[in-house]
Amino acid sequence: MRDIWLSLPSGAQDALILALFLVPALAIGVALLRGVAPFPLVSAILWRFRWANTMFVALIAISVGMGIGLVAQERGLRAGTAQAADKFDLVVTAPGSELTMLFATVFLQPQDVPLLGGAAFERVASHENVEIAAPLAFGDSYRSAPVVGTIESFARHLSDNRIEGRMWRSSGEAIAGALSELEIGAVFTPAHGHGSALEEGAHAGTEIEVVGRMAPTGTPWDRSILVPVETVWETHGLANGHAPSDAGRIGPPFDPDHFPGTPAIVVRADELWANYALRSEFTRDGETMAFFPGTVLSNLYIVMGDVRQAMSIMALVTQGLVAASVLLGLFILSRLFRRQIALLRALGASSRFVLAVMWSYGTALLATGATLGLGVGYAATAILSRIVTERTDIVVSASLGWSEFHLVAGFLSVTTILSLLPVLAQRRQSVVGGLRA
Amino acid sequence: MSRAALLALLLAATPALADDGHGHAETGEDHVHDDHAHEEDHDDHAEGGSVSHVTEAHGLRAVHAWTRATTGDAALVFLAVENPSEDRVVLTGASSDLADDAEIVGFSLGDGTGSYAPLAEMPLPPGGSLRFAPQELAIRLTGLRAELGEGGYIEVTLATDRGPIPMDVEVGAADATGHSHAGHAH
Repeated sequence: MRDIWLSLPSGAQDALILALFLVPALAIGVALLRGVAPFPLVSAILWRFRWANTMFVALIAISVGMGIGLVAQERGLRAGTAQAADKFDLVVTAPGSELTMLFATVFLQPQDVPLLGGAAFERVASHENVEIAAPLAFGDSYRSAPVVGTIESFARHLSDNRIEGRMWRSSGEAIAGALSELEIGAVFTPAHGHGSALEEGAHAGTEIEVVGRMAPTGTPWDRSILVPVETVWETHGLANGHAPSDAGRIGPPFDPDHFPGTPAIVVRADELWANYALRSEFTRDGETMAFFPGTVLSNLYIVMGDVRQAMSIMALVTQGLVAASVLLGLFILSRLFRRQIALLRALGASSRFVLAVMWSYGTALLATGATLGLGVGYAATAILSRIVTERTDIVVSASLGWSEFHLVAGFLSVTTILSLLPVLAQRRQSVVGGLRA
Repeated sequence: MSRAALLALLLAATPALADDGHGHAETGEDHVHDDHAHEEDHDDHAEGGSVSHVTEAHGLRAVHAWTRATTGDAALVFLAVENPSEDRVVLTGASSDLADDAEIVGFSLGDGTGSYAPLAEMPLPPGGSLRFAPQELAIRLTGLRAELGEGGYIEVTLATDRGPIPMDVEVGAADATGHSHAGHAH
């Protein structure tokens, strides 16, 4: 049985789980509604108490929507940050905090970090299993957009080789990120530093022309402006990584004796297994630190997981409270209907018909609210995702997944089962007593 | 700076589903190269005989192998492998009498949920070392025939092109993040 289950595609497994969640509600429905037609009466009740019903549905929709929104937003954030780190297989830096370097390299958050020298870079770049060893040079900006020095192969790797215009051919040319305000052909002068530490005019006289534009990557790099790493070094009055006899060269190989230093090297290996070997090889006490951004992010998710669990519990408690209040409302309504129900039964309506009417009424409210809750959750996620994307440049997508549908199906099944309680309580009332009520 | 703070807050609020499917907190500590060497004998005595935290065979050293207590039928084993020899060695897989299958797997974050994919082989250069750590590299046991209880040991054999390296793997808590002797140099 287990083997059959494991052999199913994940979509089929999710669909089966959804069906399983809905089975209790469907089974009750079939058992109660078989041979009776309560819907005209249910429709009349829904219309007769339309404002109270609307309130019930709205309450359910909002509480379900909160839970849905939380789950969907969490997944979107996780996927967005993971997507941002996707092009950074392995990062080599000076020993220090992996988290700090993750923020600096993947999310382009300005950090004050030590540099790796030419010998360290040479050791990484010349390794037989290293396909790309891209030095990064931070520190400059243009109108709050980071100007990052690197090499051509990394720019192509980052953008999946989707570059409008052309790649830089010499120092003083740049490739703009997809969200950069600079158009192809624009010329700009970078400022030294970022934010409050910005020094306008520090690089006066330096002019860089934008010759290409990267396709969107969904990462903070979309806001950046990439330049040859030589440009950053030259702008700061440093050697440009090449011997004087090769001064006009752009890109690797670099001369270790004329290598000014880099805070981080983004490494791409030629084979998957090589990443793990390189990680061990480039982790040397007091010299270099190698880390997987994906691992750091994953560990961060785990360490901070309690926050999400607390939020999930709060959402579940809210849903439970709303479900309880709806069921209490149903109980009160059934008391208000007591005389009408007694009249129905006196006129010959079967006990199951009365049960079917009351249960269908409650289920109609719950199902409508839960369905609308999916929409509320999606809308909430879409709004939050847009805000997060605008503020961080990490593309966070709003989408509903199987887990959200499972959540709604589970909520619906549990509450429809519980809604039998007020219905069954009503059944115990005597007809005569009800008529006198 | 506010962008960094917002980013940190977002990541902090992001949940913990990107693990190995066991829901454990994992940090991937380095257990081997710390400088806190000490004199004590690192052999433990388990029921039925002694177990070792270090195995040396075929010129290789396997240090601090550990896994987590589990009631499921899969487990991940972590350790450090050192190759002090002057020749390259290739780790080709693993096996265990307790499991139907054992393989070397590498972690990738993918779309944010994280998963381990099989690696056919892992070369280890002369004088090199390799760290099998949570969310990085592991030996995955599947089809476990018994639950792994905390405090126990299981036997796992690391396969190499030089020959097998049998290891005593310590079973830590279900939420363990490292070997109980992490930080002890051998």
